[in-house]
Amino acid sequence: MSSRVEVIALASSLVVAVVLLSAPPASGQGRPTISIAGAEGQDYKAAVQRFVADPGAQQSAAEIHVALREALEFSSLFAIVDEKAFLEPIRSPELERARTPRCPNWNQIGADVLVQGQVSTTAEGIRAEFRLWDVNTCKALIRGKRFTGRPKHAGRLGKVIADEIVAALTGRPGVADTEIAYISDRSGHREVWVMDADGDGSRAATSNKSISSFPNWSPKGDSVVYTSYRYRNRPWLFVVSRGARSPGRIMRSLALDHRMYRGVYSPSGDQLALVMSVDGATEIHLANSDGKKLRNLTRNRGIDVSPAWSPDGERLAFVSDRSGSPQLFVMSADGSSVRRLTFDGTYNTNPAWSPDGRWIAYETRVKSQFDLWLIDPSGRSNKPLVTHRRSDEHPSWSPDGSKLAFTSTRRGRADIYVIDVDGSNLRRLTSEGENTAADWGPYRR
Amino acid sequence: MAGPGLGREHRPLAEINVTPFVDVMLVLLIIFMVTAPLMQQGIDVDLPETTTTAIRLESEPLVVTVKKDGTPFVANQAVEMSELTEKLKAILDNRGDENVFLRADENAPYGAVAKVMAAIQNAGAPGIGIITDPE
Repeated sequence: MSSRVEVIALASSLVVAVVLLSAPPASGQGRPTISIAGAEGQDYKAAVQRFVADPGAQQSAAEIHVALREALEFSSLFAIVDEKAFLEPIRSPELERARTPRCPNWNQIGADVLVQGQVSTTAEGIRAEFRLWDVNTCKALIRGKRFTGRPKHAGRLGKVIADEIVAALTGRPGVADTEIAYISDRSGHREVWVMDADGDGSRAATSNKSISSFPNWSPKGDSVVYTSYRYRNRPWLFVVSRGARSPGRIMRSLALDHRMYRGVYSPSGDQLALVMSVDGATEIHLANSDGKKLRNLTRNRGIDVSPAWSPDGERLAFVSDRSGSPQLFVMSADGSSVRRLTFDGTYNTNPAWSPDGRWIAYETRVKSQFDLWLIDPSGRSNKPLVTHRRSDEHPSWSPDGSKLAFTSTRRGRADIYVIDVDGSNLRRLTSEGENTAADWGPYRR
Repeated sequence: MAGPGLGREHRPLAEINVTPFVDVMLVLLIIFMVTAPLMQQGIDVDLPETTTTAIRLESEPLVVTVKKDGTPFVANQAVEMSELTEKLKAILDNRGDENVFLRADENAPYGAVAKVMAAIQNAGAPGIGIITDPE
């Protein structure tokens, strides 16, 4: 055998570990450990066949494929099986003719699920349909779902499919097809921008050429309320709606000598918690979204800011310096039952209530910078989420509660990042200008 | 294909003859015997009979089958010998650190089996499990 010389030479330079045994493989000593980078927390391996497409939909199919793979990885639930490992064809069969896949050829390469799909051209645009298989049991988890859209939205179809796949496995849709509003100065002014949750497709939502701050999504996701100085150089609330070009000033019935620093929609969308200065006192107010029924929720000598609704709309977390330093407080949505929540640290601010109601994310000052912590609304449990020698600020939860978006200056300039709630899978979403004040929007469908 | 030292081709081996494996063992593999009832595989081969005890496996192992004519299969899929290393490497990268199980027909050419074992080794498998039938 020609390889003998080589083999013997190799053996002589190394310790030969030849074991002929009938013990379980795990008992083999000195087995090298191969660690897969970033595999922690990724529960499933997904094999994704390229969607088969008619001639007019080839480009869309390619875009769907890329977006689908990226969105599955963004969920932190999946690792994608390299196509080089496939034993079966790289391209999906046509779904009408497709039989049960040869599951051993998928689970043997390490896949847990298989995604097959098809893209067709229709009168309106394109139609993508897909199937999801559990290749360990060889059962279809999703036997056929269809989504239609224009070819220019092919990437979004890929994200929608990924979110459906996450839902099939966890019972809760993924958040690839959601959006984050934030403030960026990349155009020269601090404007409201919107991007997909993975950082794709940043677009300016305003061009006020003024200072904008504190974007906040309406619960339906059809508009963003924000603060701007564009009107008479005073802070006031504006709303930018989907499809609408002009930013509308809201709460016009209120006297302009008030200063309106921030508006936060209640979970029902009917009300806004307002940070407003009246006669020099900065308090949290509540008003219907049309500006009617304005009333104080707080009234004291301190400064009360940064309201954050509980998901059931019955309570508000906020920040007050009434006890000397800025600390988190919780009150009922009618302003009663005020209770101080944080007692550690000299500066705690920017609370964000998790969608399941169990945690309040907030920032706390350590030396001269901020870290992100999680505290439960009873104050019993308090734990770090993001700590870094640079500042991490302004947390905002994804609608499924699995991730948070926040601002970090870890690269020098402020950028928006997302991180899993367990502190893994940090990902930077922005790169141009200073980017702050992320607000993660609701599910879009 | 079979070398001169292997004995007459048509007589089934009563047990695995370890001697010819010494070459392959030198490639630093951990090799162990596994009895067949654990394995549910689609490709039909006659396995050699040995007196090893069954081992317990925690998960579905990656199995490479060599048919009587020397054709290698990964799972149920025939794979070209020339592409076997690359394919196995990609699969092992995906599966993580795992032993590969070899199911060679007892009459498969020794050369083909040796090439498959070399491919498994080159793909980075930490060990090879030889699947046999209980005697």
